[in-house]
Amino acid sequence: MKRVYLDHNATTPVRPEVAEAMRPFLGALFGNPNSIHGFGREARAAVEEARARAAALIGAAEPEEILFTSGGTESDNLALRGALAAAGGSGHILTSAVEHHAVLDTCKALESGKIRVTCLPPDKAGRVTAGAVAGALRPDTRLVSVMWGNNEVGTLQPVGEIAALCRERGVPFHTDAVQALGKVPMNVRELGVDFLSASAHKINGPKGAGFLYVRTGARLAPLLTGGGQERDLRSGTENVPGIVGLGEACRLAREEGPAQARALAALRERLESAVCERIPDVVVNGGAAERLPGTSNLSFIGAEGETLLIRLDLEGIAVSTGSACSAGSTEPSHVLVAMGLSLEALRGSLRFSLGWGSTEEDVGRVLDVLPEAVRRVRAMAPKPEARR
Amino acid sequence: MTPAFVDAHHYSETVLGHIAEPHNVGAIERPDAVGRGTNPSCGDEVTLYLRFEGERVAEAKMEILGCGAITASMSALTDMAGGKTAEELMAITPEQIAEHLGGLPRHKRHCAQLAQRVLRDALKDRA
Ligand SMILES: Cc1ncc(COP(=O)(O)O)c(C=O)c1O
Ligand SMILES: [Zn+2]
Repeated sequence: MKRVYLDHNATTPVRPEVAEAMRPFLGALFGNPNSIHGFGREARAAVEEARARAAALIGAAEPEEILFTSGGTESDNLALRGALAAAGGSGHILTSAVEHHAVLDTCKALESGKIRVTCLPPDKAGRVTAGAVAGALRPDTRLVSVMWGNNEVGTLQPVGEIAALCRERGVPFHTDAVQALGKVPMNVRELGVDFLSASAHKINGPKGAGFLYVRTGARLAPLLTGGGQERDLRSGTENVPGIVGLGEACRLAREEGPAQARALAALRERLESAVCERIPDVVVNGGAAERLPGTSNLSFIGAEGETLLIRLDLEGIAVSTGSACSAGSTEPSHVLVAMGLSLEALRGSLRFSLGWGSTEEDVGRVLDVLPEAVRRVRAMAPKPEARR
Repeated sequence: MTPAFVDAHHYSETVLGHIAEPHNVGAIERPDAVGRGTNPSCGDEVTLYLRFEGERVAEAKMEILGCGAITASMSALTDMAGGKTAEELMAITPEQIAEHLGGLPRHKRHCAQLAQRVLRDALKDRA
């Protein structure tokens, strides 16, 4: 059975070009980039090449504005904790209720007598407007953090408008761009973003590598202290193979991203229109908003997501319910709850996320299997007339 | 002995088998007892039907709209109920349901508990 992977928002396959680029750094090119000798210089050159590629992908003014981290979670933590620490460890953080747990739980952990947090509720499509941000800014707001593209429903936030507002008010702005990177055009310099989080494994790079963009002049304190790597903002010997893989993934995303985004949007459109045509009572969550091209979050009313997921999995099709990072919890997705979905829609939600390598055939397989899976799950449901 | 609740978030092969092909799905035409239950947190909804012959369960069936764990728990419960007396049914615990499935993830304990509640609701209905 050919397996179909439609869970690219959880993680993506490492592209062969990326694995190839990394290979020498798991072999002969093992040097420490901080060493003065030849081994070190080879590794340093590779790290700096990757930095330039990451900077180019997001339109950073200088490669030095890229700090390599262990991934999206660390980047979010560094931005939030580092910006608040640099601002004296007190004040107000303004964020949204649809952020990834890496942001929300960090805010929760920071919240104290000295640090206050506001989580803006989204509209029904998962959007947070610049107007709402403006209305919730306080004189002591030290950071605004609103994600670029949502991992569960794909909703794109108006980061340009929010960044402009923050500029005008003199408040630093962070955006978690882990899902949006490589899928939407990005120019942090033009937008005036202060901090931007990214992760390699969502763009066909390796797991455990990512970066935080830090605009020159933005104030940040480190989380990790030690050898003083990454401009003293992220100590620790660099993950050279991971960084090289990240760099190659950024290069590929820059070259192929726009065409890939168009192809994914078309595939997603085909998936959604065919599903809605063949299966009654389907809701496209976030469908009223602009979305990441490959993300489709659908609710099958009268069915249940996890059992659908397992039925698809038994047919070799991988999808997800809620966020992969919260697998193991039975709480419904905080994003869908914040969007105000009914209990029925929450229970029946399933996320399909397309990416590099997704094909028409993959969508075709879903269309072959899903209608029958939904029909069977619905057929097992209790009938209202069950009581004698 | 297999532990009832395990520290894992993946389902065992046995549980997956029950989810793919749940046993005893559907209603009983003239049941002697009907139990119903819901899980407010995840929205699981279940109905259990029992038909007795004399003192013992001759047929147990269920209808289900819920997560994998509650589906497997109800499937297991309808298997376990066959041939049992009301008294024996009262003795069934969430642990036994989970053991019958070769273990359930610990965070899904509430699903095996819901299965037990629905069973007891049915027995109350019969009484
Ligand atoms: C929006 C968003 N932010 C942050 C993360 C965490 O990234 P990482 O897995 O690299 O720690 C994810 C991963 O699911 C994500 O989707
Ligand atoms: Zn459940």
